[in-house]
Amino acid sequence: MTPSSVPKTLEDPSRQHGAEADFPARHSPTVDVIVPIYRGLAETQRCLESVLANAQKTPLEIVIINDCSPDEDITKYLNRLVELHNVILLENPVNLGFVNSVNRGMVLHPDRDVVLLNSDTEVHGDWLDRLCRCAYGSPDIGTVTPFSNNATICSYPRFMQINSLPENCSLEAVDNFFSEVNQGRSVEIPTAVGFCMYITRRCLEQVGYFDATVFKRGYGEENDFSMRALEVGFRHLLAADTFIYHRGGISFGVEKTALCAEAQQVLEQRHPRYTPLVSDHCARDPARFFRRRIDTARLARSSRPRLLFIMHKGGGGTEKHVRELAVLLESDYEVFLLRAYDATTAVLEWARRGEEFSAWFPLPHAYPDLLDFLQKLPVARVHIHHVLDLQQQLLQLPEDLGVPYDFTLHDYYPICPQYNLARADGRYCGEPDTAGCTACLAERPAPWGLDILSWRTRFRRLLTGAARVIVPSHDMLKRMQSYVLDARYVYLPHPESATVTPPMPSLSDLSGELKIAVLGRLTPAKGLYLLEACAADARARGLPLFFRVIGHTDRETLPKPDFSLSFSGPYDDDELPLLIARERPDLVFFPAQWPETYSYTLSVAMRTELPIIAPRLGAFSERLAEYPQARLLNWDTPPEGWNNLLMSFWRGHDQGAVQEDSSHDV
Amino acid sequence: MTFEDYLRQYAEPFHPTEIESDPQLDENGLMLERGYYYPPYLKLEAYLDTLSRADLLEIVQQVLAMEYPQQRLIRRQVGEYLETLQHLKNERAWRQAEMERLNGELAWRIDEMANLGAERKRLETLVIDSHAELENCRSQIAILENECATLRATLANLRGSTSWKVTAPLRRFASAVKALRAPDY
Repeated sequence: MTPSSVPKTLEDPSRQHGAEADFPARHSPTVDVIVPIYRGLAETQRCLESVLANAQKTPLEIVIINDCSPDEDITKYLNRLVELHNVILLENPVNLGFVNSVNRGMVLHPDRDVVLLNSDTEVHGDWLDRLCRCAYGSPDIGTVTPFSNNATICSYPRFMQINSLPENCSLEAVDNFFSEVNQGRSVEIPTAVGFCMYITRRCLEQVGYFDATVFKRGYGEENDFSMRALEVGFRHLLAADTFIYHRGGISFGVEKTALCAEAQQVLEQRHPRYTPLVSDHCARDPARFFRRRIDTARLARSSRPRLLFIMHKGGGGTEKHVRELAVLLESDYEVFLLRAYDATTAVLEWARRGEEFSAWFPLPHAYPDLLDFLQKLPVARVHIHHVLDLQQQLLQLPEDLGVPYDFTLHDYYPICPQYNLARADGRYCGEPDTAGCTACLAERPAPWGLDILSWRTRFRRLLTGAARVIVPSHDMLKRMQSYVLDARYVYLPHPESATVTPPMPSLSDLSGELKIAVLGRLTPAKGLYLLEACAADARARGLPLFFRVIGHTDRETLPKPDFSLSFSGPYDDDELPLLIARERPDLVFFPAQWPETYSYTLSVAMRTELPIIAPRLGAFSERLAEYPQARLLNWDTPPEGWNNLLMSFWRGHDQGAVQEDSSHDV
Repeated sequence: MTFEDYLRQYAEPFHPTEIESDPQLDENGLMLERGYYYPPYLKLEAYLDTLSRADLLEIVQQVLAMEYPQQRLIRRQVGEYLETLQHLKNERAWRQAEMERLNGELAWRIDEMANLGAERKRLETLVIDSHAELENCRSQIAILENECATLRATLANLRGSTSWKVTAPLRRFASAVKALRAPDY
């Protein structure tokens, strides 16, 4: 079978609407635009005025149903509107609910197609003409729903999310993009979405009206109707060339969640196919391609310079820094993020908040396409943050793109494939010679099958070629310079917001058990083993020390109930200050065994103004130099030494029994 | 460091005005192949299968609404499409079977290679052992030859000695006596 003989509909999951000449005979050319109103004067005004302001070729009549609004201003406004414009106003003597109101509107002219429009929407341009063209692309189309910012499976930019309008875009601009870029395109959907649905009279005649007995208040009635229409052979389309703004949740407010859950239950009972159909649609997401077309068009017309960030799979301080930097830059730049997805795939994301654009590139064979895309964007500058888990091929991107690039060092990856200068047991390796590194790599090999010399040679080239190599601490700068002297280093500590720290509860008198907070996800390099040893020593010597990790570890810890160490579990970065305040620790302990390059958790700890105990290694020394309550010990101090220092804060009755190891103090 | 300070220092070398911005107007050139927009965890094959069914349904509906000659045409197209689909499925099945067979053969050959390697190693050790033994034998022969030469020299010396010559009549007499005493057969 040759491609030319493939029926056209097989080539593309989306459909191009047919010409209007194919229309089956319509009962009446006029379309009723039905707007039920209950609350929200400002939204209602914007909605009705947008419908009145945008003239259509399709003859239309606005049918407003005032569902006995408790807001007198709304009633006054509607009455004035009727005097000024040619609209029909139906007043419900009592509150009938959304579904009854809609049904009342639909039966008004039993020969007309209808559009149900929520009162918190805004339309633009020839919106109705486009919906109408879509509805008459084929005789079996029952309903048509446009794209919107807040419309579950018809949402843009993010699928199934409540979005605001894209940044710097008016409704007019967004709708123009849709009408130009996706002109005449549509996608089949399992159900219409009620904020704005065009229903053909043919469909209404065969399927009936909304079920007001079960779905009186609203939510779910359009899904029930859609399923009933599917059963008799009608199809539902998403008009990919129309965008209507929908604010959402105006009339029902907080009741929405309960109403939705109730409706979902009824739908599942009535239509067992409903959930599988919707799940299948979500899994396939056939409208994604049309959302991406709009993204691409918006990008193509954005005059902001494009920056490309490269990073690992995500997580940790690196991702925090990258995301924050992307937010900082988004007013002046379009920032793209290329990161590792799995062993063979890299994913390119548009880092602007509220955007969904992502593209997955299986490497190495998609590299030319990736390069081509980045060249066409065009990327003006690259910033490498991390290359862990990425394909080695991507290191040549800046060179292939021919643009300047920066490199921020978040750890020691360019000189140590273990990235943290730590041995397998998590302790600082002391930076041995090549033979030492080779022995280390024999146990834990470097990615890409490189030996230590090839590894450092490859990264030396990358670092010396960078316009800037940004280092967040002087300690790191010094260490790096001993390996790669001639890179253009720039000392620039990570930026941090001056977040308000919740007031720390007043300190205890330090005479009971000392509560020592340890922050973050604990790994052996972050001091997990040292902490366990400290807890074991405290128990053996009967010291009143309790170690509370605000965070978690991937490793199974000792489950003994009398062990004075516990974990609070994973947390979001923003919650950390609050969690610390809630734990009311007496001091904060950093048992890290590798030369930390910055440590975001240290910043949080410093804002608490609690005493901080840390090793004299990496960024701790310089960052704590000015901190009044810092006590530092050599990183390889045994657990007893650390516990002795911790005990020096204790004001209990037998304080004299413990000897302080003051020789290590700063 | 505050965000503002960082941004000022960070963006200094590439202030927006210093980067030549060249907004593209051809968004079509920027569009990637459809497949790139879908993450690997979405089963694209399932997606295509579902599409085929939906599209086939649409075609059937079109067929029902059409005139007879067009129906025939479309039917033939659908038939061809289904045939191609079936053919491709068969081919896929065959290729999978072939791949499995080849994989099996590959595994067998890898095993065989490992066995042959082990055998070669064994034979190599054997050769080395044989060489060692040969050397050993050669040195034994040399030792024995040496000894032989020494003994021959001793014999010659003995035979040439005066005492040997003087005692010759005595030996001849002793032999005669031995011969006389020997039983006759």
